[in-house]
Amino acid sequence: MTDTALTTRKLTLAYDGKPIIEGLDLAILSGKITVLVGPNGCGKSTLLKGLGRLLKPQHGVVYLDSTSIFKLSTKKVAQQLGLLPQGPIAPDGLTVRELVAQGRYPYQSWLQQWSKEDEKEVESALAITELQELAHRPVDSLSGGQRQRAWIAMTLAQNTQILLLDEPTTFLDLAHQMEVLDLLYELNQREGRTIVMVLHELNQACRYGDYLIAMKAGQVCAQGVPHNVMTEALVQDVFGLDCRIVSDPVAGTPLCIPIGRKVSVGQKFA
Amino acid sequence: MEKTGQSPSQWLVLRTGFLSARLDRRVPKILLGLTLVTLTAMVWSVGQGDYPVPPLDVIRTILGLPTDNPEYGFIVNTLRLPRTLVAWGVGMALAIAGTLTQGITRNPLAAPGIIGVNAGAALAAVSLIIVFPGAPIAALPLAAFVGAFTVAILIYLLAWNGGSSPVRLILVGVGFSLVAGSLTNLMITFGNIFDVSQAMVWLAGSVYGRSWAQVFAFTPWLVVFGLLSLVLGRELNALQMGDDVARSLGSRLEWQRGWLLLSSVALAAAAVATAGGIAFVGLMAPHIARQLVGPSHEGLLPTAALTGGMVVVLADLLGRLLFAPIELPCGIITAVIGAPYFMYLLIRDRK
Amino acid sequence: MERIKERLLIQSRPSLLAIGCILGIWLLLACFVTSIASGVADISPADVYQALTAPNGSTEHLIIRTVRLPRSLAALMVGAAVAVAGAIMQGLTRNPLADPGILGINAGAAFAVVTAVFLFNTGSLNFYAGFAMAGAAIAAITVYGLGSLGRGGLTPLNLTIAGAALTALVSSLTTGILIISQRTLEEIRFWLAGSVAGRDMELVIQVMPYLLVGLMLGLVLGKQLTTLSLGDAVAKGLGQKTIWVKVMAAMSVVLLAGGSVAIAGPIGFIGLIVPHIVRFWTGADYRWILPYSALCGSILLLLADIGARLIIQPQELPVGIVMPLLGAPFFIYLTRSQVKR
Repeated sequence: MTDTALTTRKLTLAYDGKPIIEGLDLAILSGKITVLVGPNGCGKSTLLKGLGRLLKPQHGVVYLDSTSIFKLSTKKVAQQLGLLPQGPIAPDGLTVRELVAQGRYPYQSWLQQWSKEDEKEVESALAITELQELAHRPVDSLSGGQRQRAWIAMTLAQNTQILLLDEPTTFLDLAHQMEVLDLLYELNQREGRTIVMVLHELNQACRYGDYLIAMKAGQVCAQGVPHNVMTEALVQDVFGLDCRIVSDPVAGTPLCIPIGRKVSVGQKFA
Repeated sequence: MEKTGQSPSQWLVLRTGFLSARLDRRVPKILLGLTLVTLTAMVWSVGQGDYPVPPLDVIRTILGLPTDNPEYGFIVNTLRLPRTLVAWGVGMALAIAGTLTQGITRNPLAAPGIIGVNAGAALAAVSLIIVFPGAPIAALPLAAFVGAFTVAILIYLLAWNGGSSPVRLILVGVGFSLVAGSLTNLMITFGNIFDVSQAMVWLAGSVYGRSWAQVFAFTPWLVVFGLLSLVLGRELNALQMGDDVARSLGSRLEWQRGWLLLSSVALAAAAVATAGGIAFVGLMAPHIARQLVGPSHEGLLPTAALTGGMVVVLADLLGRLLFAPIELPCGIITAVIGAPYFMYLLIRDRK
Repeated sequence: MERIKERLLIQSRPSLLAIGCILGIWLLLACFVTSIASGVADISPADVYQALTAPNGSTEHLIIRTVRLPRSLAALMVGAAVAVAGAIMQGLTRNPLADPGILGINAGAAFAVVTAVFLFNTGSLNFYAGFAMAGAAIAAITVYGLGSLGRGGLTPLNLTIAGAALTALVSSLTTGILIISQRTLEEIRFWLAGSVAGRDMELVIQVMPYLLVGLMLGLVLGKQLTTLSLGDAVAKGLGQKTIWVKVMAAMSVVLLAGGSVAIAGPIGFIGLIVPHIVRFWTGADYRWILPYSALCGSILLLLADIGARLIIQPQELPVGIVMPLLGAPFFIYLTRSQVKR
């Protein structure tokens, strides 16, 4: 296993001819959790899609284990790299088990539609995400957190070494957010899977990420361990926000406390 | 809860040496039920008409066993049986085409007509009937077919803008239908009244007078593209979850969509060429099937096919019974049942 | 697109728009006069003026008063009515692809008329008018109601599909009747194509009040529609009684679309194309979109009708067939440019 799971060289990604990311050189370390942070429109999702082979680069290359990702067959890539986009929709009436079973698609063929291996992986994915009790229920009847777990289970069944997740916690309440993040952390610790995710919440990013990549306007402003990246100067530069960085009393990771205009109780604005 | 082994209650798993497949547990029972109902309707339908034939005699005649009346052979085997078989086949083709269209567009309210097949076929057929009334009847299905394919290809190309988009396909299809409709209208307004009447019947969709020639011309299309659809059914499952998820699972999106669209168009075109524009079957059948066996396409496609076949056979039967001896084209019956059902779907699907 | 936005900012100044309106009215009059002057028998504009103001009973004056005038008036009114109906519908449903034809209203009116002819064995254009109105009204209510009950409410797709469903059902029933009765087919098919040919003054006068009321109602609603186009929630938040506005707007559409079908049969696409063309000049304010649509719609239909008369002289093409042939390519272009995913 190489040190870097994914690398990009001079990557340029564009939508409708307008470049969002230009000439980016990046390395994602394998076996670690990397979190992409940045303001709206900075290109985090675009970068993730580029890494996940969903967007064809206008220029530059994305390397998976030193082979260009577009030179590999789609199925081969799907066996090594799984991407969970934002807000995925499951067809009506699809049960959890059926959804998770979809994750086995890259390993199936016309003749082999449901091998023993497929069955084993699906059951294992359901066990890890603790969804066995709910496996027969339709996906759309589950709560937000459970539904997200089901989608993650599908990505697990895909049995990829690398997992890319686009805002896996948005629209979930706090308890469910922690549920999902803890699950991902466990996957990384137990099985050494490489995880790259986009998160909005800076503090969660610091707590769960081994590495942070801060982006602004399509460029990487800083990358490294949270302690080094999350500084008051950086937050001001990237987000345009004044803040105080302290140590999280629970986890010991950097905690960003934003300073707005209201900074005391009963304060009067002029 | 068991850790390994058979998933409880949901699936039937088949595994032999190098083959494995899984199917929703409900599918075999439902398929059997549908087949029985269809066969009953077909026997009844064959027995209906100016010269009624008792059901047992129908079965005897088809099997080649002797019956009281020597004329039964002609009535059943030459006149009525091919007609009912065409109804069944066309229903199956339209149902499969509808399931594929709904899968590709990810819109449960899509029907094969939306990809312009009906409009193109209608335009071609009506042009033939009105502008070249002397042309041989055999040319009609061919013209309809060519018309259907041409329009479908045009729609696909026009909706392509760096990639295919389900919503654009639908909307461009609507636009095309309106153009083709306008041209068809032109011919209806100015054509010879007798030819126009004939054209109207074709437009409504009917299996009147269909013979073995049509059965043999149609069947290869149903078999080839029907089987192709069954094989491609798996791909549809992946497509259902959105372009991004499908791609991340390793689906070759444009390739799959292209083949699925081709199958859908081929089946719909063949059906429309054979029996005219029978309405709503492609819309209703997949929905009914989904209620019966769930959304996984391995089971959905055969179920929808049999449901569609059953619907058209029943519609043909009703069309002949309701105002006997006047025959209503089965396309009108399917529309009268189908449109309210469609609207009910719209209401019911409200979230 | 950026340049167009700049133009809009410049163009939407009220003074410029008012001047545009006046120019539009002059253009309309010119087209109107041309329409009266065109046809198999060529008549000069001077003659037209004389025929209208001081008729002297000559054949030409007769032609003008009994044939060309009502026809041109019909084209003028129907063009305006359908265009405004389309604009209102696009505003109401926030759907740039709305049009009375696409939404099944024409099919409903046609069905009503065909049924009437079938049942009552005979009819004149004037006779059809009442049924057309009723059919249009029922169809409009049905499509609007169904479209709002669908998943996600009044989305473009739901409305288009509800309209397609209704059109399919109703056309199929219409076809059924036409198959059963060849007599009905013969009598009605020209009307079904949509045309302003052969409309007499009596018919025009009979329907005019409905169209005028619909038009007034629509124009008055201009400001409300602009507010509504920001979204239901926002409009309510600004204090608008949205249900009231929607009902009034729907009534206006029914009067306008129904009246148009009553006179001219089902004519498609004007309601779709015109508001879009107009928007390039007026921006998104319905206080200007509606009057401009009326002017543009009239001009378009008058020109199309002149064309329909002249293209294959002395034969005539129904204008209702010419319009979709022109309109559909535009619709497809719209779809390609406006719909991204």
